[in-house]
Amino acid sequence: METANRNDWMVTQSLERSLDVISAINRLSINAKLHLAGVADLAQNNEIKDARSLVKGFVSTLSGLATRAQESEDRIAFGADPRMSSLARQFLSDRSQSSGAIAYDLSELKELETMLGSEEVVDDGVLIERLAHLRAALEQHSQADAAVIFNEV
Amino acid sequence: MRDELKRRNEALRADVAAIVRLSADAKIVSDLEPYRSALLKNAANLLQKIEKNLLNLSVGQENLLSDILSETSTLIQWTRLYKFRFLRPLHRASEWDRVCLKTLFWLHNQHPDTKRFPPVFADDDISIIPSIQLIPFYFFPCLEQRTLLFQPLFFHEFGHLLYQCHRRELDDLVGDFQQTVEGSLLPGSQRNDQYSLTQMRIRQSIVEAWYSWTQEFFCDAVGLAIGGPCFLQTFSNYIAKYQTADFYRQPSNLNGSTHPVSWLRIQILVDRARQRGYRHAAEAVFGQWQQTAELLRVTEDYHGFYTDSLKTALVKTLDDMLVEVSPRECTSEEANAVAWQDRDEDLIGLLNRAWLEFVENPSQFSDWERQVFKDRYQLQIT
Repeated sequence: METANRNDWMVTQSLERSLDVISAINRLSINAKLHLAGVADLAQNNEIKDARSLVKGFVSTLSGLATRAQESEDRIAFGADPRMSSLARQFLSDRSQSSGAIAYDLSELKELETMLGSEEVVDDGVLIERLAHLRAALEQHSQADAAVIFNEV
Repeated sequence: MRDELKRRNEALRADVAAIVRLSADAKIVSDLEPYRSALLKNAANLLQKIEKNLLNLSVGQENLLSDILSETSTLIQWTRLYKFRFLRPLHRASEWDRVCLKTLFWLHNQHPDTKRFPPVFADDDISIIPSIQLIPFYFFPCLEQRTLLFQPLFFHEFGHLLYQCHRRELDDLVGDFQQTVEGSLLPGSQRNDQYSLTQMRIRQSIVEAWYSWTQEFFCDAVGLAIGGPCFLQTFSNYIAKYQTADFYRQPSNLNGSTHPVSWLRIQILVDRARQRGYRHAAEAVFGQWQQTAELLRVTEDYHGFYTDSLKTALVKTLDDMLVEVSPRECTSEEANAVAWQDRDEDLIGLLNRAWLEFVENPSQFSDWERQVFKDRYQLQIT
């Protein structure tokens, strides 16, 4: 009961949350790419709306945590689970603890949050790029959780 | 790559279809039916995602391949979770499941936020995956499933589920307490050098450990509130390994740890039990742990992760968290258990009575428990 294992609530929640967000990013990215190519997306409108809402909520939480961590004496996001805190710290500009992690600025995260919340038409090309960047950071993060949960053969 | 992704998604589709078939055909006890329905619904959603991925592959746009590859990766991981977690309770269902399922059904029904979740568990060491978006999933050891004595452990795990249902408010309370911890660790003045950076990392490690530690202390308090003295006895019995690590851990083992040192948990829980009037169980448990500590010759030292100065703030935080989630509380009659009668709804009275029987008549306990299993759980025990 002392250290993380495959049934640990924090690790499993972190993985499941990441998988859901990555899936929603994929949905939005495919939609934007098809839109750019002038090809109809067979996804229902509410699927896109739900995916946008999920990613926006996640990005908003993450950027809030990163901002709070930046403002605190010891770069701690108080009241956030350590897996989310660790991800949030990757977005801080000095990246003092993120060697080897995907480089991603807090400003980019906030820009993506604004784009996802905008009622106006956004630049699909920029949106695709920002989503791919976030997905890469998230996939890297989720692989650490997956390594705990899924046994290697 | 397109062909490879197509082949892999078709294989996933076949796997999920097999999961659906096995789940639908499984012979299970009726208490597990709500879980089967929920699983089949979720598996249908997973199947839909796989179909959508195959459809996107057929569009023929090269620039979609990176998204489809990523999506295939998430689907592979979800399917593996279905195979080794979600399918297990149905695939290895047994008549004995009724004991744990009835406890979980009762627990979920005691709180308005958890009534909607079907009871389910699988064999493993005690834990919960409290996914409120999907299905909260408990694990329980094989032998402990077949006795009443360890059922109260579910009350602690249920605390994690309640935490998720009230996450926003509880995270705020935990965040406030973490700030108190950080405040207690910050020096009066700071240098701007490598030493200072090292000290900052140590403080980070301590403060972040308190996110999960506070939740564990909270779940212990939930367990005691629901179960009363039987929870304290079960909990103490289960976590005691009679080793130094129960009382003391090296700093390297405290860093990144998910659970507080057991001795600290027992002390906080015993204090709470005394306040609730469970003096007999509290003194018995405290005495056992204290004697073990003396035999092992351990000295209390939490290497800065905990000091007595944090106790008041910690207990206040836990009290506030309990007020926020408002778990069902054990009544004095249930805690006393002497007057317990086999009424179907009185699970807590039964579990406290079980401990009373076990402590006072250990040689007759098996016969007494066997009779309860026959009468109350309709188990065919030979």
